[in-house]
Formats: sequence, C-alpha cells, structure tokens
Amino acid sequence: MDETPLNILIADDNQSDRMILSAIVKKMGHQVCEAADGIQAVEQFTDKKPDIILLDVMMPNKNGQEAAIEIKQLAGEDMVPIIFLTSLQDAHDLAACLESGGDDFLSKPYNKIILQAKINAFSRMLKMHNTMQKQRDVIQENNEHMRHEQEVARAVYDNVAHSGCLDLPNIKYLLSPFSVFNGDVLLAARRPSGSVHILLGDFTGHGLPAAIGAMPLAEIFYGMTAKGFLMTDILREINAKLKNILPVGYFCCTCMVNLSFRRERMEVWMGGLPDFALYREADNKVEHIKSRHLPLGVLSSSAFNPETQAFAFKPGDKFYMWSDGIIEARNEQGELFGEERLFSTFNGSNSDLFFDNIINSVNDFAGENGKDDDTTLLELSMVDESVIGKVDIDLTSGAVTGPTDWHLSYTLRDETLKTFNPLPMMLNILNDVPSLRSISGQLYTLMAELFSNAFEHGVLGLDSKLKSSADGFAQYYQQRETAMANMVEEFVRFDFDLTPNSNATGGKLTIVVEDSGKGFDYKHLNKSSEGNLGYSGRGIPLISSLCDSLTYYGNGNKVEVVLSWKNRIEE
Amino acid sequence: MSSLDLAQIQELKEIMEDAFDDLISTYLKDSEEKLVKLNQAISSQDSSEIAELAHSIKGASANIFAEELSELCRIVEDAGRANQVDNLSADLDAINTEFAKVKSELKALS
Amino acid sequence: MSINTSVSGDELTVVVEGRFDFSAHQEFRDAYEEAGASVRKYVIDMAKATYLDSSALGMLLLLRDHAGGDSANVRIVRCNQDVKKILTISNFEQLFTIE
Repeated sequence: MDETPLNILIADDNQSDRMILSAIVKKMGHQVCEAADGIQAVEQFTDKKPDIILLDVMMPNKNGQEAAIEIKQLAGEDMVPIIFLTSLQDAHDLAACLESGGDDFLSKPYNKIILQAKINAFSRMLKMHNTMQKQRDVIQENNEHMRHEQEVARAVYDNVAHSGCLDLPNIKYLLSPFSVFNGDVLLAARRPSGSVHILLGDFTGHGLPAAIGAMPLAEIFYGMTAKGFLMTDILREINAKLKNILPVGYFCCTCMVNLSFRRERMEVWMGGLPDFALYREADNKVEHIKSRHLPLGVLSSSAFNPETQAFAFKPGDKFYMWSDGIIEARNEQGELFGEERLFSTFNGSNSDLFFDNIINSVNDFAGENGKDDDTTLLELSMVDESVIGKVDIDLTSGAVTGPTDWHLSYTLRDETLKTFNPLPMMLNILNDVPSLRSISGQLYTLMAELFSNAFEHGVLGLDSKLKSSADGFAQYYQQRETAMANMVEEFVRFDFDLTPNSNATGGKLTIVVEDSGKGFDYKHLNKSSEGNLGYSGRGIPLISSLCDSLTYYGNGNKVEVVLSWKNRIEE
Repeated sequence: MSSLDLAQIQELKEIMEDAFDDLISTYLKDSEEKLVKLNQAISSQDSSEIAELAHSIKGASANIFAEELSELCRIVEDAGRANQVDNLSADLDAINTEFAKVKSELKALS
Repeated sequence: MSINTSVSGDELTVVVEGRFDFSAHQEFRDAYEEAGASVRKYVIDMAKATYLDSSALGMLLLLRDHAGGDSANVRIVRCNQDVKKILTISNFEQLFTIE
C-alpha cells in the first residue's frame, strides 16, 4: 500500500455493499466514511473532505452522477478522484459516467485486487497533484515578491540613472521605458567650467544584473564631473569600479562625450557600441563615429585605454547616440531594422527633423511588434553658450580652480599611528585641488616616503641599514614588532600649506612632517653618501627628485618639502 | 448445484474476517425487505419501482456471489426499464425460489 | 544551438553551431571546463555560428579568464560577416586573435 493513509468516502445505498467495500479499504490501512444516498454523499464530502470517493451510480434522493457534478464543483481546483460503482455494462453508459465527472469505474462483483490497484493509482496521482499545487503557489508568491522588488529597483534606478541635465536646450532624447530591464543608462552633467559631459551606457544582460551596475557608474559620473575631473579620469574610475564589482563576462558598452561650447569642440570615447552619427551642417554629410575601445569593466586599470577622439563641432552640427535597441528592433517578419536603415534616415535637408525621423522610422518598421519600447536615443547639438546659460557657479570663486589657499594639520598618535594609514585620505584632500591632480602620483610617492621615514626611522628608531641583506630584513621586521609594542606617547604630524601665487597661474605646496623620534644626523649627510644607506635609507635622493626643495630641522625629526604647481583649468 | 460461487465466497470470508456473519445477516435482511416490496410492485405494475428494486437486489446479490439470483433480477430490471411489466409473475417466482436457496446456503456457511 | 569539442595535443577546439546566445551558457562553459588541465590553447570555430549577442561576448570573456586572463591563448576563427562585425564593434581583437 502507498504510504499515507487516505480518507475514502463510500457512497452506496446498499448496506451490504458498503460493508464489503469498507472492509477492503480498511484492510489497505485507509480511513472510511459512508453515505447512503446522493445527498449524504455531498454532505460527507463537505464535512470530512475525503481524498477519494467511491460513488454508486444509482442512489435514491440524488443519484451518483448529480452528486459527482456537485462534488467536483465544490472541490474547485483540488483533485478529488471519483470512482463510480456500477453494474452498468453498456459502453455509452459507462462513458456517460466519466463525462459527468467520474474518473474511473468499478463493476460488481467488487474485486478486491482491482479496487486496491485503482486506489493506489489515484493515491499516486493525488500526491503528484498536491506537490504541483504547492510548487505553483510558492512560485506565484516568489513572483509577486520579485515584481514588487523590481518596482522598487526601478524607482531607485530612475532617481539615480536618469537625473542630471538631460533637459538642456541642446539635447533631445528618448529613453526606453524599459531601461531598468535592458540596462540602458543616459546621464548628463555640467562641469564647473561650463562644458557638458554626456554618457550613454548599455549594460550586458537584462533585469537587475544590468541595472545594478548603473548605480556606482552614475555616482562616479556625477561626483567627478561636478568636481571638474577630466573625462579620461572619470572613465578610468568607472572602468576600475565596474571591473571590480561586475562578474567576469559582464560589462558596459559606453559612449562618453565632453562638449565644450566655448571651444566648439567635442571629445568622444566609445567602447563596444555600434557606429554613431556625426552630422556636419557645412557639407550636409553624416560621418560614422566608431568604437575604438573595449566596453567598460573588461580591462584592468593598467590595460585601460582612455584615449579620446576629438572633433570640431560647430553650431548647426549634431551628434547622435543610441543603444542597440534601435538597430535590433524587429518587424513582424522578424527582420532587423539594422544600421543601414538607421543611417539612411539622415537623408533630407532639414536636420531639425532628423531626431523625429529616426523614431518614426523605427516605429513604422516595427509596426505593432514593439515600436520604440526598447529604444534609447540622444541628439546633441552645438549651440552658442548664451543659449545654454552659464553654470550656476561663479567662475572666479574657485569652483573651477578648487581650493588653492589653505593650511591643514593632521597628527597621528600612539594606537592610531600604529594602525591607521593616513595616505589615501590625505591624497584625497589634495586631489580636491584640480591643479594638483596631474602630479597626484608624485605627491603620493612623496608622502609615502616622508611617512615611512617619520614612523619607521623616526618614531620606531629602526635602522635602515639592516634591510641591506636578506637576514637583515627578517631582523628588521622583528625589531619593528618590538618597537611598536613599546610605543608610548609618540606622534607623526603632517602640515600642508597651499598658497596661490600673485598672478593666479599656480602656486606653492609646502609639506612639513614632524615626528616624536630622536631624529638623525642630517648635517653630516651629503649626496655622495647615498651608498652608505644601502637598499632603503630615508630615501632622500628620491624625495629630492620629487620636489623643489628639501630641508631638515631640529634634530632631524622635522622635514620640509616644497613643490610648485601650475593652474590648469581643463575645458 | 450451488447457488453460490463457493470459491469467491471463501475469499469474501477472508476479506470480511469476523464481520462475515454480520455481512450475511445484513444482506439477507435487506434483500428480504426489498423482495417483499418487489412482489408488491410487480402486483401493482409500477415499472420504475420494479426496476429500482430489482437493480438493488441484483447488485447486492452479485457482490455476495449469488450469480443466478443476480441474473434473474437483471431480467426483471430490464423489463421494468422497458415498461413491460404485465407478465412478470413467472420471473418473480423464479426469484423467490432462488432467493430461498441462497438464503439457506448462506446460513449454512456462517 | 550546439557545441562540439575536440582535443588535439594541448589545443582544445570548440565548434559553435547556430545562435550563440544566452541559452548556450552552460554548454559552452562545460565544454572548456571539462577539457582537462593539459589544455593550453583554445580555438573557437565560428564557421557555423549564425549569430552572436552580448551574452556570447560575456562567455568569451569568461573563457579568457579561465584560460589565464592576459596570458590566455584564445583564437576565434572562421567568423562570418555578422559575427566579425560584432567582434569588431566590441574591439575584441584587443583581447583575442580573430581570424
């Protein structure tokens, strides 16, 4: 017998028949409830909820067929197998039984073996049906959850990925309503200098995996554009971020543009996108602008190539960008809209109509088969700066040049000195000055050397000579551990002083580093003693090469370096 | 010749175990009641009654493996359904006789 | 869409037939992952591939990663016009040898 005991209803107006069936069913281990006519059968069904019903066809008050119809209705989508008990022989009559809702029949005299086999068969079917119902319910519930989550994701996505200044008068755009689900990103922001950065991105995949990458991308784009970073810096940052967070095989096909109104110039970086169109009013021609790079998120930072293409871009000229949804739009015959058709829409003399032409063309082609559901399209025009308006920032107030006149003092003590690396934070602060960005690497190396000198040689008193041999290295680090454990009331202080020169073409950066150590005999240090310091002394030659002047004070525990910097407002 | 299929009855006994006697007495009691009513129905030539009662006894008898009795009831049931109930006295006699045999054989078993 | 593989020495050849899209994901991956540790060179034969989409590009990147990243030796050969175009737009010749 199949494992779970079932509840079986026996409906027959003949008591001796009920007794026989009951005995057979109970022997199988199942439970029995009984009814003597059709009305009782329906009542028992409602009360006891039997799993299987043995139903006599001919019963007083309500016959088997009527009862079957009612019971099946009451059961709804639940499965309740009904086995008709009948002595009918005629095939038509038997068929009629099944039509009325019966699932099988059993003829008299009742054969124990056959009845048991039928009950077992229906028991298996019941189990399968119930399992499927449960699974379907779970799936439905999960679906509901997912749908809800996608709604939320869409709302967040819309806030992040499509804000910015897409509403500038020189931009026309169409954003696919399904961009959350097809990974399209369209961003625009003004730089402090007045030029505009635009980014069109197409993430691989669909749905949430595609949408997720857009968040950090947008954050970097807006953050760095507002601070006046160059397009190449921003692309490098985005590439590194995406490479870091996206799984292998996921990437973002991207086009980024820097549009300068003042210089009537456009700089473009394209990776992984199909050809875009550059229209020039002067010769009324459209040029293909091609992707020269891999999509973002594929290459490591060292392999990444931020090289851009630059074009003159005069009033009347237009640049068109689109996601591949346009090219891959299909008509009812399954044909692709394709790149050729797209470029052919630029025929005609009135460039003001180009944008609408593209959209109408795709819609006409696709017919009812989806229209511009999957289309993201952007038109950039060159206009006079007066049309755009100046950026809401006073150009002379320093937003362009950044903070150029300040002093910062940062002291690390004891436990913090032991465990915290202040270099990234300090470099960040220096990077807020646009003009210092071009010497960022230099500054980092400089600060790293100065810090290392101040902490290891100054505070911990370690002798760099030890590092000149392999054994020495191990000893060095052991001594370092000991010295760190014995640190009491020690410090290292950095002082930064940035000043602009009088004609605002640049200025000076002075860095003073002081430590609580015993210092060293700098007075007897000369350039030729470089060799005495072995592999890694206080790196004085290196430091000297990175700055304009290097001066020691006190007992050698205070050092001052000075560099000069040039004002660079990058358009 | 036996009115009962003894081999099948033996199997029925195994299925019913202790309830076998109970089954037999229930069958006999019900069938006797229905037989009385059948006699009346045939007298009054009530076709639908005849068909219903004959059908019921037929089924129960089949399950008790009284095949001859079951077959006789079938004939009367068909007549009832066909509304040809004016000449059933011979069939009724046969049923009454066969039932008596079945009854005594069943009693002998329990 | 079907994938067939053959190994000759230390070179694994994967033949892609039909549409190379997301449905090929598991099969393609199994093809190179189950090829064994002795494989050093990979050849993807696209002669019978009719179509390549961005998930296929992703699968190629996964293969490249599996095959050693920057030191991987992966050739993509016998591409038809359409396939070649997609690889060109994506500038994949910067990562793979394409014939």
